[in-house]
Amino acid sequence: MTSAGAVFLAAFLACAVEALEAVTLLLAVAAARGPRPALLGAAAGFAVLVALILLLWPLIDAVPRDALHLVVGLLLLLFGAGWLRKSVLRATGRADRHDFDAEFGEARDGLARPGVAEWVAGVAAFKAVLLEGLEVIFVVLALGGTNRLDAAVGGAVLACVLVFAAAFALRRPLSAIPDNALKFWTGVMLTSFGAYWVAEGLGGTWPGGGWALLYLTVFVAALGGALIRFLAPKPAQ
Amino acid sequence: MSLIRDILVELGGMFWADRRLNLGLLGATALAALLAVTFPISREGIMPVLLTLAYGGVIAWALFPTDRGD
Repeated sequence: MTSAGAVFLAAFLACAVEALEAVTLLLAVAAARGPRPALLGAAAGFAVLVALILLLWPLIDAVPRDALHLVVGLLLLLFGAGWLRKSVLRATGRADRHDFDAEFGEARDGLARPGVAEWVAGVAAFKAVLLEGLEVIFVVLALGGTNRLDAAVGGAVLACVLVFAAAFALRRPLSAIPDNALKFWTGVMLTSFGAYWVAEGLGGTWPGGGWALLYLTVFVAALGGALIRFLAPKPAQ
Repeated sequence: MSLIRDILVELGGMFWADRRLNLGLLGATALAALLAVTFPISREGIMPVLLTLAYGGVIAWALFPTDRGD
């Protein structure tokens, strides 16, 4: 049995990361062309996402339990390990950090150019919500698909509401939020959930039962921390 | 159509950009499945622990640059 709190936290962190990226582009659209195309594009994106959830949810119920654990686990593992890898590379200077201000400025300037129609800005907002939202849907369905949908949806909704409210209150990208630390801990949690469910999907039994999720999280976090320390540039002698 | 193509390109690009990691994780999972089928007794604790260690190894391996620079 998976803890509802752990599912809530994992969904909250994952959705906060995606919402930060989507809201940066929505703010750029609003800054370049006014709030109308940003709101219309975002609303259309949300509508498609809701339709996708309604379409996919009955399919999840139809999948046998072990197969569901395996598929869900692999999905979470691939997402989580990818985010963990990226956050370690960024933390050690081996990849550029996410610069929300630069991304915002580039998108805003591109959309504000003369000759760019308002509907192009609306499509940019639509794509931002849809592409980032697809990742949110994968994570929420995967986390919630094994009997904790309420916790997964709760975490996702709270993250989206907080990020969108803060961004629209401040009217600028939320660059002060430590995006890479969020990504690291999201990667740790999704990788742990993924490994847990893949092994269960293969018919395995974890030593310690439900406590396995706790020691898996500690193991993955310690591994990530050790890799950051090992790969960090050494000070010149 | 352009939107669907964009989404597929985005998802495919995400997978391919981290191909060492993703293929390594899938490979480790396939080996664990083989172990579970060949030695069913390993499902009771051994296979999950070995799988976790293999995932840890793949994540660490995927972080080190190769000669090709990827």
